[in-house]
Amino acid sequence: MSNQVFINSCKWLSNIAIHEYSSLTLKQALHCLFGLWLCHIAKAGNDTQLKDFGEVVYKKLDCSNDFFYTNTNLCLLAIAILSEHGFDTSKFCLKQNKRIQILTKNNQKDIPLETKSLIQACGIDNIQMINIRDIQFENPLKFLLAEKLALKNYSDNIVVSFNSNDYNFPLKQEGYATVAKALLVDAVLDYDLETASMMLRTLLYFEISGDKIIQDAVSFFELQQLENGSFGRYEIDQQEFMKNGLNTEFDLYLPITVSILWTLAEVYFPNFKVFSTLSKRNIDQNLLQ
Amino acid sequence: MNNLSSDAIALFISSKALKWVAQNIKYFDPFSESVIPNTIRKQALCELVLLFLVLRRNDFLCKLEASTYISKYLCETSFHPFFQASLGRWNHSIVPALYFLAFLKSIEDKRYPHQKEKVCQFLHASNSLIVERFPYRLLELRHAAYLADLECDLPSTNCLLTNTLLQKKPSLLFLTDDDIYAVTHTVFYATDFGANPTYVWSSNEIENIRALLEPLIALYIRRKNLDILGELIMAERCLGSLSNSSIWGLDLLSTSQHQEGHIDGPYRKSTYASAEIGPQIFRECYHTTLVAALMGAVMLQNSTLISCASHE
Repeated sequence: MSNQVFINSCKWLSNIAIHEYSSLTLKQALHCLFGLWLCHIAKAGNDTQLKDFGEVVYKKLDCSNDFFYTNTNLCLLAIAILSEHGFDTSKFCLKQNKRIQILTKNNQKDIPLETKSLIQACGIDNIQMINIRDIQFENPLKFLLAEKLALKNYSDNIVVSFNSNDYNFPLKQEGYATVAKALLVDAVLDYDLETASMMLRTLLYFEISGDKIIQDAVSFFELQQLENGSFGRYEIDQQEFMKNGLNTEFDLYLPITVSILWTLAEVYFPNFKVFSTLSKRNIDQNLLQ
Repeated sequence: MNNLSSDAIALFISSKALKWVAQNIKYFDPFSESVIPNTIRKQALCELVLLFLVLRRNDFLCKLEASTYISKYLCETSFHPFFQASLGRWNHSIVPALYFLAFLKSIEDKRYPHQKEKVCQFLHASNSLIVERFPYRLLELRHAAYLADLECDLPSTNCLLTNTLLQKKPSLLFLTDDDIYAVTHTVFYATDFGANPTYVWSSNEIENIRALLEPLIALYIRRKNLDILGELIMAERCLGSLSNSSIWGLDLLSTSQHQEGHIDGPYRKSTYASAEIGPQIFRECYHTTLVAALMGAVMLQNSTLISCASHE
């Protein structure tokens, strides 16, 4: 079953990459690239396709002046992927130098942890080893009661801190795994697959891989895939969504699909973790240079 | 926060809830004129008797002024001819009848033996023991008979447990509110509301149930469903434990409790015309409030706090 999910999604993503590339916004294209990269990792896609679409994203990044301000992490992720596939990303580094300088000059503690990790992964700045020890994990109750938008920060912070050699998240820290389970169930009850997959991704780090909830959640995600390879959310008023100038397929289904692929990739390939994989490969490349 | 302060919070919640019940006892009465449907009042009364069966296990809560008042009302109501009449008409009325019988036993009422004989005769002459029920409802019936000290031909608790959802190790991911209700009530009846946590389960099984309950408690804190939250905390305590999630849940229940003592149910509306306020609050809050009071009673069964308070 595992690879079939990626094969199905890869067809859908390839279709978008081939036929819709010119109409995609930068954000949509970045999601699509990330999805194709995950399929590539799962050996469901091919390198040429990823490189071809990489060209599209490269051009879109080149034409955009303010992308770094609005989609920082997604852009950094794309730059790291492009860099890994042989694209010269130094111009983006220069272009965004000012932004990074602002980020680094002010107060590093204000930079979200996952952004620091990605900056490092991209090799676009010489930020010293991320000082994750500075990060104070708040009471797990705050994590439990966080607004949906803030959940992502909590989740990413946990994931990144686990990926760091410099910091060990207190695995036995009372309550975090319980809270992540509760948030996973909460999201499944709301059929919010993006949040659910993010919470499953977080749970993977708590050394509970044999836990029934992880197996149940993976089966659940596998069964939610549509025939065309995408994952969606159906109770949202689509007309209202489109009124805001958004496209259901590219602005709703695409990010959900990519988030689930990210999680499933980390489930199916226990040695693969997006943040650490990108960091390691780029650091290795930098060392070789 | 240690156990003592959790017990103190539980005591506070329970005492306030009992005060509210005493002040609103008229709404529980199924035999008076009321805008509240009769079925709701009968159900509320049945839950109230059950609360008092557990409450009587500790002297401190039992001797509160509100408890004495409610207890007196329940004693008077026990002999209402309605209950006897209902036995022959509705199979499901056997549980309230058994609860009232158990209540008479608990207060050592001299009419208990006679009443017991009548209920016993009916129990064996009717279909009450053989009609189809959800597995956890069968456990409820067995438990009610046990409280009333009545022999009945139901299978053993262990045998009844095998068909419950809880015993089949459900997936945490797909439990609905109704399923959680089934899970918590199975725990209540199988442990006699915490009086005997290890009666039917091994320590390993208890650990598995706790592992299921703890994230559910966190989930219902997030979803702010105080009704199910109270039941889940109570179920956990019936198994002899109190997780971090339960401690957070107790805080939420305590801060959500109104000054008057009631706690909002999951479907509580905020605005009503003044004439409907009393009955509406009752309809929407009585269950959650009784659950909170019962949770306190269960938590304080073996509490050192209660022992100290009782001695003082």
